[in-house]
Amino acid sequence: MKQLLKKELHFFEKHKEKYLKHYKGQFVLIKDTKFIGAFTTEEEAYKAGVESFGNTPFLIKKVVKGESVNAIPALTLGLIRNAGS
Amino acid sequence: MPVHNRFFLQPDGKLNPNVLVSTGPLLSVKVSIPKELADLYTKEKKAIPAPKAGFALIDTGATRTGVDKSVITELGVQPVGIARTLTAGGEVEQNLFPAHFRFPGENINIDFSSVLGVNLTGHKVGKQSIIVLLGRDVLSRFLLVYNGPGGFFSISF
Repeated sequence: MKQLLKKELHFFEKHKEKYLKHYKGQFVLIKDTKFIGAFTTEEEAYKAGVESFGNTPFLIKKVVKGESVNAIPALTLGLIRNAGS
Repeated sequence: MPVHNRFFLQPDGKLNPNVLVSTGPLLSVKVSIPKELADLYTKEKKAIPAPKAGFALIDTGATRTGVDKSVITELGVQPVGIARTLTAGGEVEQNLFPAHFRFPGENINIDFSSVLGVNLTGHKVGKQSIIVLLGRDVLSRFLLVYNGPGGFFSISF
């Protein structure tokens, strides 16, 4: 599967400091290189994204300073295959 | 808060703790498109893809729930995020997808804003595939008791 949303992620990183000032802890919705809005919950952001763009890729990102890395040891240890996206 | 017990039996119907050791704690699951997307499809008079059935393996080691990418592809759900995940080869970026889970045996429905798309191809128990790894994001809503000597586990939601 081709990695999608790279462009949106790059746009988020570029404007992250600004978002941290205004929307810390909220979820921002980004489509292509356009900021659509900030939402209290991820569910609200998804609903707004579907209503505006239908079933197309868009980025929902929580505005936090650091970012955690997911751990799935079953994948990490190769007990279950993990090819990335 | 109902309690659901899942017993793991041998083919002859006898309880054997080794069956649970072999399979791991499994639940039947049906994965479908998220409610918001189903509502949109209904409004646009589009066909809603049939849910994909398989097993969910409870994985207390996983921080986040993952769904097999082939299931996501078949449902036609588009990504809503990118997350970093540790693998044997280091960190990889993986897309996040919204999804709806139904556990028919327990009558539990969960709408997820984002689950990891992971490769679970080829992992089967009997004739059914493992299509979901249930991580601690889901388990944060459950009470889970693993009874190894008894060969069963109990969940409450």
